[in-house]
Amino acid sequence: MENTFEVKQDGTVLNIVLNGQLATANAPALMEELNKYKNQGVTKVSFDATNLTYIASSGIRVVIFAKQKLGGNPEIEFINCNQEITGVFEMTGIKEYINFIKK
Amino acid sequence: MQRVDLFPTHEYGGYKLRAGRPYPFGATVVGNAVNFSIYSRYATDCTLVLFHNHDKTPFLEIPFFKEFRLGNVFSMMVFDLDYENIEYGYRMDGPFAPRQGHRFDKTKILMDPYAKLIAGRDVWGKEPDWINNYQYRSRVVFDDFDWENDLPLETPVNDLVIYEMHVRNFTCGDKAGVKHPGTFAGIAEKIPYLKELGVNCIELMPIHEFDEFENSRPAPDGHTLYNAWGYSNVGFFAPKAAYASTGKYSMQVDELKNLIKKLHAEGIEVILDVVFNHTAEGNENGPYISYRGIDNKTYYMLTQDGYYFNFSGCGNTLNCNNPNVRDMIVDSLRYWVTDYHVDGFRFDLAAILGRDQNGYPMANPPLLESLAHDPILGKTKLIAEAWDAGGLYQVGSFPSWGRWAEWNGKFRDAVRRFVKGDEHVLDDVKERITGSADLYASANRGIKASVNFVTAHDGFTMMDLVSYDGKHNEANGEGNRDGDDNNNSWNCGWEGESTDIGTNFLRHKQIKNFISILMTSQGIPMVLSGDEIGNTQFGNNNAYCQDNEISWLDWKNLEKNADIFNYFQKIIKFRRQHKALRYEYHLGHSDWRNLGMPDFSWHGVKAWQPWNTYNNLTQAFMLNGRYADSDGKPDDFIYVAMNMHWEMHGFELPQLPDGLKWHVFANTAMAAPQDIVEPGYEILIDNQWEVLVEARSIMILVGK
Repeated sequence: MENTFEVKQDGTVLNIVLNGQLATANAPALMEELNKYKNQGVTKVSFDATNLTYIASSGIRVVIFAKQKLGGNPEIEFINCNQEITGVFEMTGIKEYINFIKK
Repeated sequence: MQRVDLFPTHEYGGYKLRAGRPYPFGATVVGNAVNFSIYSRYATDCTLVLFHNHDKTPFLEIPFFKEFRLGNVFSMMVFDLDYENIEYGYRMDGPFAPRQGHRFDKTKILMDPYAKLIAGRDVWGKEPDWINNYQYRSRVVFDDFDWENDLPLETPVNDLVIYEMHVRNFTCGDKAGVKHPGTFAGIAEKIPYLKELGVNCIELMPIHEFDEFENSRPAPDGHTLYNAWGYSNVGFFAPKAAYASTGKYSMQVDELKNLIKKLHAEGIEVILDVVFNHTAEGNENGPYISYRGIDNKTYYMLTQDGYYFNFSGCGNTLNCNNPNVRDMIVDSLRYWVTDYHVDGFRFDLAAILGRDQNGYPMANPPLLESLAHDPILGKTKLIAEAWDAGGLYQVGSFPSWGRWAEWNGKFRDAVRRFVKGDEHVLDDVKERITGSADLYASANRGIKASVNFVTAHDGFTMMDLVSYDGKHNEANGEGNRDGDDNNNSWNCGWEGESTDIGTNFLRHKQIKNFISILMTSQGIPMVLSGDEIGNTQFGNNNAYCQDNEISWLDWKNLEKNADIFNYFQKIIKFRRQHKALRYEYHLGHSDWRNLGMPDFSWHGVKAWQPWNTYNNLTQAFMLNGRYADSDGKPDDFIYVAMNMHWEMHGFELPQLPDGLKWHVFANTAMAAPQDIVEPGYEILIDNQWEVLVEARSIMILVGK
């Protein structure tokens, strides 16, 4: 599966579809993309993780960036996140501020 | 604006390169490049070897161009590497001349001594692929972590209650009740337990990357013996991958940092047990992992014939006072403090760190002095195990510059002997209880230099100390020859587990006696993980190779030995509430402030008469809380009566100033729950003149 992402803005919500892996090959580019929305009044960042198979350290950094650096302390949501990735969020200490949604 | 020194100048194998930055050593992400830098004094050539994760064969080997070497450092930037998905190593060329100390072999692929992430042993106990010629594989870390406001806690050292633990043993056992047993995440799940117990510092047995399969072998009963404790480093900068539940995703760095951040949030410090005295490469017959092939003569202490000195008992000795090795050790410690927010270090066999390059002890070892004065480590706890396997014993004389504390092995030995009823140790015990002034009163060291303990990972657990006269190490497969024979233990009348109510009551009482002395003594108390629930290793006093029920804490004991846990919890709380028990410097044993009574006084069965009576097994002491005022509020008086004699004796109480009365806090002779009360709720005693202390018992009174 290709390691791609797609970002769409819906009002103050950013919807991000993740495919394959979120690692060094694509995480810096996603962070750069997110950076465009810094201080733009984003209230929620929703990651669709239905097709996400793996997240590396650099991917974790993207989630932290979304929470802490976009401005306004947006809500972070993960849709259809698999158990292993949820476990990684837990053990690296960021699970507390993620809402996990099943669709 | 782009830096002008971040553009490639060379190309090799499809990758763009340029001369790297010699500092820092290791692999560092710089912009869209990785800077590889490695030191070798005697290498003639160096090649960077790159693998895709887990691959047996490299996808590229890049020789360092001549212009990429500065002095004795090879450094190179490689651009556009997918650094999370590669592993790297080095081939070093140079002389193979063992008698001159050189063992270069360019057929070997070598781990970076500065590797901050090491792959190859990612899941505990998973048999490695031994055919693979690169076993311990350096990886690149992008060192950022969201620490928020966290910093090392800088708890005053005299306020610490240290809890020594092993990452796996703590949560692998039955009923541990965690989702991620044997891992950093498992410890994080147990933070509420640590808070309930009341400790404010955990000391982790080695967590640097090591190989649990080193010297792995079948035990007599067929189970596998491992290098379970990990006192044998592969690398000094990387956490043990298999101690992280996320190790299989190479996220051990994040998992450990998250644990430390969570512990700090609950006021619990983290001390790492570090092993800088030797490496896992062993002696002349050992494997090439890193140091031997990168610069054998620099990294190891060698005899004139090029053999390895063995002051560690593990085959080799790191050449700690070579200036370059010294730098590596300092770099490692600084890294753990700056990037992991670690609060302190306990140095295994630290006496070796004070030996010169020929193995002779130095008066002012430069490494120890550097660490004592290092700016980044300026508030970091430094604790020495002040002896080594070469016979150098420096308890009380470890070069300290007023900064180093020591594991006080003399406290352990004296208190063990006293509690078992040895009549020749009272004078020694009195020194230990008062902070070992004979060892630490000089050189501005003070009480804060003494880490007091009765048990540690080496030796019996506290339950075994009162259950076994001798060691029972048969499961280690060495015919019970390994492990210390000098345990100063007493089985209370029966060797091993017992169903006899009287024997078990005595054992529990002896445990409470030990912890009572430990927590009311001056110095930094250290508790061995599991002692608070009466953990047994079934008489094994050297369980370094046991990754099974022998070593794992059996959490069923929390219920079975609830009285022991309750006693530990309350007496730890008592210590933390009473400043009189936590002085930084030694007491005068006099009334130097004219407060009516001395700051500290010894007593016998008669008040103010500390004469040796009843086989030197009765003694009491009193702390005058008025010397321990904080914020203008004096502490209480504390009186501890110790009767290690086998008969009951009355202890005449010293009379308190007007308005104060003696109250009972603890009496180890009583069955739970009458053995101890909640600190602050001590019970007023009717007879203010004398207490009767049962045989082999301790009473703790509070004057308020």
